[in-house]
Amino acid sequence: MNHLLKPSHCDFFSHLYIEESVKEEALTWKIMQKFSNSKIIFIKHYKDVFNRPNQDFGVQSKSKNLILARREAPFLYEGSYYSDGFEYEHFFYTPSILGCLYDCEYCYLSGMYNSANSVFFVNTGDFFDAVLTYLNKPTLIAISYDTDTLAIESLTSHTKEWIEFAQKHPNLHLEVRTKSANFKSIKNLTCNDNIVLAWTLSPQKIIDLYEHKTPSLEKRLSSIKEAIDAGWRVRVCIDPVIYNEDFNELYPPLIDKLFTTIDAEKLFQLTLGSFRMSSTHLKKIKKLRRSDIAFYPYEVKDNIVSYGKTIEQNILHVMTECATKYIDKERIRTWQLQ
Amino acid sequence: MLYIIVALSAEARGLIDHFKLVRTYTLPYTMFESEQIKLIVTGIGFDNAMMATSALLGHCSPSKTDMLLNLGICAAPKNFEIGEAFLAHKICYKDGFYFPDILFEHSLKESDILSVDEPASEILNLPVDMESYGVYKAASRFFSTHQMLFFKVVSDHFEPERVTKELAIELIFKNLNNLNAVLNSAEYVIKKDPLFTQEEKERINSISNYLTKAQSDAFYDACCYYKLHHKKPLHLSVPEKEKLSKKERSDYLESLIKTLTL
Ligand code: SF4
Repeated sequence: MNHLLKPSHCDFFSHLYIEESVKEEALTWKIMQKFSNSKIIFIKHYKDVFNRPNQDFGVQSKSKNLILARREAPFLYEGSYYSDGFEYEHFFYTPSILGCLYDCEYCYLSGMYNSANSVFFVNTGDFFDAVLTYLNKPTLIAISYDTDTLAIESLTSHTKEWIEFAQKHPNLHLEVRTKSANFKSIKNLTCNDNIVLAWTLSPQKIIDLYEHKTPSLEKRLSSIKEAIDAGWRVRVCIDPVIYNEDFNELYPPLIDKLFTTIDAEKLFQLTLGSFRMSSTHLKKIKKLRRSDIAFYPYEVKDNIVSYGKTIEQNILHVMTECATKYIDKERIRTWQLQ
Repeated sequence: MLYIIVALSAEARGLIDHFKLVRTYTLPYTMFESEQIKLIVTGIGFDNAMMATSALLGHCSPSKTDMLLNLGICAAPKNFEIGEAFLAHKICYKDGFYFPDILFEHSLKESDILSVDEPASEILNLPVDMESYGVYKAASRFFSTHQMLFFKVVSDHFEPERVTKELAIELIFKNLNNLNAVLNSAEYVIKKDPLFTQEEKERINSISNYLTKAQSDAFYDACCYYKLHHKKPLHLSVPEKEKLSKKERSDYLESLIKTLTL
């Protein structure tokens, strides 16, 4: 017995919690094989683990575990006020994965869930059936709304399945939002103008400080370039902007770097927005983790915390001015408190 | 602080010597303590375990950086060796389940464990004890899921008549190195350095005395922001006046927040 192990956190997915109801599913087997060294714990219902009281999100974030489960209805939720629904009459998001592999300090998930673990619902077909009922009209589905699906694509093939499903349904529009550098996992699929791959970018210093476990700016940029060169519609989101004394040194140069890496003409859209969150989530985050983002003296209006109109307008003004050196204003979308 | 919960005096014996614990009489239970450890002997079974754990933790009010260890012998199937130690990651009892989080690397086996009401003589396919569930049930009111450890040592393959006091003492004694290693690793994951020094805390408190509750909350947040953002010591001066008017208070708070969050 080795008593001299240096104390350390467990690796990610050291424990796999598997609902009895999905233990025979092919996808479950595939994931179990990938993590053959993980401890397998069978459970009755994912909520028995995911919703346990008194979990420590901060500590769990350092060794996230995976829960495999079967989702029951509802399979779709209406998009939220805090995000951009791009004027679609039908705008939904799918809760097919709960939780995220990455650990961004400003993420609302830590204020929303009790657990830093991820739940992956393996019954993707049921989500597709739910979407079918809305496809009489153009429908936007955000498939990485409460998660980053591309980040765990090698495990789940989830994005690939959705993209293949969308190929068969012209009224289905998808938004795949990611911070990953994992375009390679879908690069062999046929590109489709109804699908937008949306990359969130931040200056490297912000990534180092707040976006733990995410790929570097360089890696994200090269993934974006690959996707654009392969003909995909790519939206770059510099959202949320985290405002501090270095804002002018960090964000305009990020925009310059973006447009020296990619062909501005081929970029579908650029989204700009500063940090905002429901004050209920922020309150929870303050209790859960030590992050300066959580303790900034925000303005609160209608249960939303934000930097306030003056700072927000300055952020958007500086960034829009910089971005319009490269692309026309029509392709720039901004999120601003009304 | 480490809170150790055992069912039997024999399970406590090795720990008392190892951790140099002394007998105390704070509660109507057999208890031993050191500066960093409190050990309680609960008696056998779910009810005893739950009541003693509640009494101890209710009396001591554990903090976010404390740990709970439930240590004990148990029966197990033959794929466990007699004397083998393991950590429980799922505790079952009748229709209920608990899932302690094991978030640190260790070299022991992990297993489900079933808590039962009578000593187990019928062969089952998982380890069996009589206290884990009761301990978890009481302790989960006080601890996060990763602060509770269930360290079990296999005493028999469902032959309770073979388990003697001497055997229990010996099996625990032989696992003290394993226990030390587990406690070290768990502590590494649980420990958190305080954000503020004692001096800073005192300064924050004296300034808060000038402010209303809502104002002192906003001030405390700004202090957290300063420490987390700048990672520097906090230097704050207390107003010279003994009391501030309403207007002075608001101006004072505004200037504090500005200085701390600029
Ligand atoms: S990548 Fe998105 S979903 Fe994942 S932690 Fe960061 S903000 Fe949250």
